[in-house]
Amino acid sequence: MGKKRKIISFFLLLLTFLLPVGSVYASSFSQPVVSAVKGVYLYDDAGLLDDDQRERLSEHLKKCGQETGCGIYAVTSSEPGGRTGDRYLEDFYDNGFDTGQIDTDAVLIYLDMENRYVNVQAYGKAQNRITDGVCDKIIDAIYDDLKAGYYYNVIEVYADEAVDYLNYVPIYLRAWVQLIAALIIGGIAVSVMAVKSGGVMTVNADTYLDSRYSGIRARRDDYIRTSVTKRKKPKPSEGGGSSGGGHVSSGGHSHSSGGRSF
Amino acid sequence: MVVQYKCPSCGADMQYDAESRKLKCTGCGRLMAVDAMKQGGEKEGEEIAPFSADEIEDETSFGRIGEEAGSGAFGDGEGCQYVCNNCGAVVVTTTDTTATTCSFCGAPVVLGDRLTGKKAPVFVIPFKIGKEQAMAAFRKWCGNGKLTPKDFMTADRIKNITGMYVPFWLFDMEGTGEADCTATRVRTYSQGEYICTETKYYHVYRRLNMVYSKVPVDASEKMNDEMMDKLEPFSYSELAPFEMPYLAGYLAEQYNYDDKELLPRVTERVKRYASQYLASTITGYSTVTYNHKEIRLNPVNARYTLLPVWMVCYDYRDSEHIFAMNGQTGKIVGKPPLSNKKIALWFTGISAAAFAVMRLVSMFLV
Repeated sequence: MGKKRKIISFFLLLLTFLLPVGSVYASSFSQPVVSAVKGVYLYDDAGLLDDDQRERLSEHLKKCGQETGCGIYAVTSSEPGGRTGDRYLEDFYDNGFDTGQIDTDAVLIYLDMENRYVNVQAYGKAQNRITDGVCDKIIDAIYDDLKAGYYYNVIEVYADEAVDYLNYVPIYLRAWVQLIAALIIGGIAVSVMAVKSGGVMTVNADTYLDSRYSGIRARRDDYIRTSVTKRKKPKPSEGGGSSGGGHVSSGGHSHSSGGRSF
Repeated sequence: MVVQYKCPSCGADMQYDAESRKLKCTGCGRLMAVDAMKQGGEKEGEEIAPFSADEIEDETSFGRIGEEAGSGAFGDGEGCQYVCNNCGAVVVTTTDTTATTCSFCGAPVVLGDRLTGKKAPVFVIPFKIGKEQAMAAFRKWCGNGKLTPKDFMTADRIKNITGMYVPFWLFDMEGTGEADCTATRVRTYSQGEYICTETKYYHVYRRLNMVYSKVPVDASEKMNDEMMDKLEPFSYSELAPFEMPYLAGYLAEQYNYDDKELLPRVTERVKRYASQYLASTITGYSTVTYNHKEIRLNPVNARYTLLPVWMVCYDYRDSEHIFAMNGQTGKIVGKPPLSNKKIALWFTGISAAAFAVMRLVSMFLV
């Protein structure tokens, strides 16, 4: 009996030793990240919200996700297991991605109560709109509430901001602007056609120029002076370009990110 | 002096044929080179060279009536009556006509005395496109109009098509152009966290020689200047010394404006060309500001030239539309009627297409 148990426990020990070899990184943290479940957008591991708030925010996040076509997640934790910076959310997304339980186009907020650190990330299509700069702006919008501990407001405002940025359409992409532009194009094209219908001038300045007797007789190109003006480069994060921030998770997912202590 | 060209074979009237570039008999179809018809052909049996006015001295001299009477004097050839050699009818002409057809018998008539002295053209570009070709080309052009009404496109109401030699002056201008400018070359580069804009200033000078040859200017009062300008270019390789037989069978007019009157018009035009030429020699700069610019132009030559134009009169819904076709190259100008329906269709079509493309691009960007 005793021998048998010893052998089993030995094998279990061996197994626990061998298993993590496949994912070296995961093993270096003392706690696993919370695992994503399809259709759930709020993971309040730290217990910052009461039941009523949790219910309302879950609904709110779900509704925001439907409006934008991107999953809008909120994750809190008081036991990050040694993960700092972008790591927790990256692992959360990687795990969710591997199990197929997370929306691939996603915006996430993470409140690390141990380190008092907030992190916003965007994956997939969402990072086109929610760039590093936008992540910072979202944190700006929630920062005061965060410091004061109004976590319900923090998540609500975060979700609303994310929706605004995701649904933001630049002026030249708006339908009515494009309609006016199309009408102008049509008008110009038809006017050109109407004017051209009467025949166009096909001779130009060169037609009658007799090149045998024409040319430059004298020329000067004297350098006078040089003036240089300097201008500070705009910060790349504020550019709000179409690409993300160039961050890559250990699972190989590129994303944008912004984080701050509070 | 009425000049008509008779066929040596059958005696019928001959007219210039654009396709063969020769005189063609309307009766038997015989072709004669223009050179061969230069002299005779006015009347049968005229083998003798005509007297030269310089060789025969006046017997007596007379005072001029205009000097004493003070009444309006007739100018060159004005008020003259021309009689058709064929039928004896009076040839109806305006004072500008130099070639026409007898309105009675249809014979081609060239009014020789209006084409001599000061009014003698130096060059002519003979018609290269014949009447049938011109008609066909015009019909095709009508059919191509994207905005023209459907019933216009059939081109079945061509009222008349007239081959006409329009008087032009071909100006040769020479001159100099001078420009003194301040020019800059701008370059931007980044240095650390700064973007630097470097502007290099240059003092630029150019002196040019320029010769513009054979710039055509329409010298007929009747012809719309803009339309005639658009008919260009004519190919000068086919420019021929003027001979009267070229006019046989066509309408021709003499100039209303002489070279001096047209000089301002041609100068303005050539100045524009010269200005562009001058600007085109200052290259490699980002900006050019002129401190001083001067273009001096002098006319060297002005040659009176007849250029071939087909005039097409088209009746469309009670209004007449006039089109002109370059009788050498076939280029057509003139305002065709525009169909509101077609304009609306094109407008909607293009706008809708543009809108669709923009939406499609947006879908990829959002």
